[in-house]
Amino acid sequence: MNSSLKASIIDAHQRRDRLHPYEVLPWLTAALIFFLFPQFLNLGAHVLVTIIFVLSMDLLIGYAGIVTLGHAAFYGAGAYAAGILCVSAGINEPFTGLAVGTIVGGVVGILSGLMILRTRGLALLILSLALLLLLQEAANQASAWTGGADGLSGMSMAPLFGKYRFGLDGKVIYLYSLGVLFVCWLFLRMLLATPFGRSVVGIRENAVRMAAIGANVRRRELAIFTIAAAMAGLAGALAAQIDQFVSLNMLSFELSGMVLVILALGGVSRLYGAFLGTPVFFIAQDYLSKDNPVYWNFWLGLLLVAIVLFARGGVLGILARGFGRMRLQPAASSALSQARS
Amino acid sequence: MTALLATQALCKSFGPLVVTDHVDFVLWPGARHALIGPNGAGKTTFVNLLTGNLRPTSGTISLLGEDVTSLSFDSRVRKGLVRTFQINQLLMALSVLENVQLAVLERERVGSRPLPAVAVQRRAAEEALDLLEAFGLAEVALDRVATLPYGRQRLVEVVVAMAMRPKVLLLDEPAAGVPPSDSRKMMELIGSLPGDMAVLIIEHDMDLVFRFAQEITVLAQGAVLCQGNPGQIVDNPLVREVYLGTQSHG
Repeated sequence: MNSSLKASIIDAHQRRDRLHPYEVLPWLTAALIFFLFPQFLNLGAHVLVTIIFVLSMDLLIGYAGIVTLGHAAFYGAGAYAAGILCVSAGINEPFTGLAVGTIVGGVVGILSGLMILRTRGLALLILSLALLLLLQEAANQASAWTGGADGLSGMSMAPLFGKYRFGLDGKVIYLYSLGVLFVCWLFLRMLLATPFGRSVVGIRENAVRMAAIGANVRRRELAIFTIAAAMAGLAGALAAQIDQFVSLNMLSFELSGMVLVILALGGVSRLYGAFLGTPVFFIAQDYLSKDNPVYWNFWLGLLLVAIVLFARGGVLGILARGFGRMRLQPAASSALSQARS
Repeated sequence: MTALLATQALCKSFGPLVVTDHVDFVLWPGARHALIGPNGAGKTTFVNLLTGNLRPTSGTISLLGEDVTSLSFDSRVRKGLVRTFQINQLLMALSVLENVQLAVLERERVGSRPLPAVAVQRRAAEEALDLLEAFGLAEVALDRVATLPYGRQRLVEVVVAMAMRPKVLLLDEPAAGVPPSDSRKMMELIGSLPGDMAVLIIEHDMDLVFRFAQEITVLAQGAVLCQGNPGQIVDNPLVREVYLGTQSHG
């Protein structure tokens, strides 16, 4: 095998981590919505925040292979951290709130990770759920800080960059959320291509193999769990700021479940599953609940069953199968067929 | 000369069942050692004790003169004790190349780096591709491991271990499930291991054992029955009785 052929195999291998032109699509769509549909900016901001939360979940389920039902714990922790910081401590600068929410999410993440990552599978699932319910009840009891069942209201955010007020038209919160999402996406895009990111995928594929090449599996899992928790905390803090309200629902099992549903709809372990699944979920929710405000969950359930039975990999999976044949770059495939002959 | 790997009075029992019974075992640098024994003799358990996949009930294990009895599997790997598995343990959804590349990155202690390392990863991929090429696997480098036939996956399993540049390599039935078309390649692969590496092979294929081993340990009911060079083992009446039966091999 000559060296240029080898180089093209290496290039084809490394190309996976490069940016593809289609990756501009979500951002283009977000920009178009900003200019064309100003009436949807409030809803849009909530979609963007949820995408961040779903991304953090995908990091766990899709990349690390850790399935939990407790991911809302970190979202809620970040939300309450940002809320309490604003209401009780009077610190209402938005970026400070985000930083505090991220740190609190990460700290709760590392502490619960130390406990639940000792287990696998069903035990992990149940432990994560138990921790979430404990945290929710703790927030309910600490009503002096959290407002208990009434929720934490009275957040009033300072203007963004000291200049842009969180107005009713949703413009500022939309762009704020979009900016935070973009930074999160850049971070994940970078992280998943690093040796650490690839080793986490390796652990998902076969933890025994990764240990057999000398990786400390438990420590890597704890690291990725903490990162995912911190990002969920960031999403929670952002949600609290744009709503200027925190409720116990942000620490609920239902919210964890919703994120799982969105991932199933959009597609797991694809990063863009979150970008597709979240708007599909919100639109379906909006459309179906207009028809029947009580039983819309039935149709959502039916859609989910159909996707799981017939289209594993979600909406993105369907698209990927359609474009699959275009995946392998011409140069690499010709190099390989040359090598095989 | 210090032993690379040694056990002293190593015991393992599961309840009343003794599966490893006071085993004293030494592996010297450059060793080509085979571990044989009838089914249920405790060969795989013994290997699992050596690597840290199992904890012994009593006794000690030392690696390069250091007591590693309480060290975990992965920390023993980082000290140079590498194994392959009786049943493939590979990253099935990833490419053959990446399976080997990740091993190179872990060996170089950069596997946990959370920062971009494109040049480092490229060098590791190049080294991985060179290794694959040396064993006729370069043309499937970009294929997902899951798409390879089992025999070729078996070769990948050994190439991944080689990429770790171990000081001690334990091969757990490397030829199991390898069809005749690939078994010559497997022999070649095992024959090409560096001379200073200590290799322990557990194998049922007596052709492979007698071709490869300079030293053979026979395990029966968890204990060492006898040890010697292949000639001594073949001529040992005890071995013939418990292991080889009435047939003659080799």
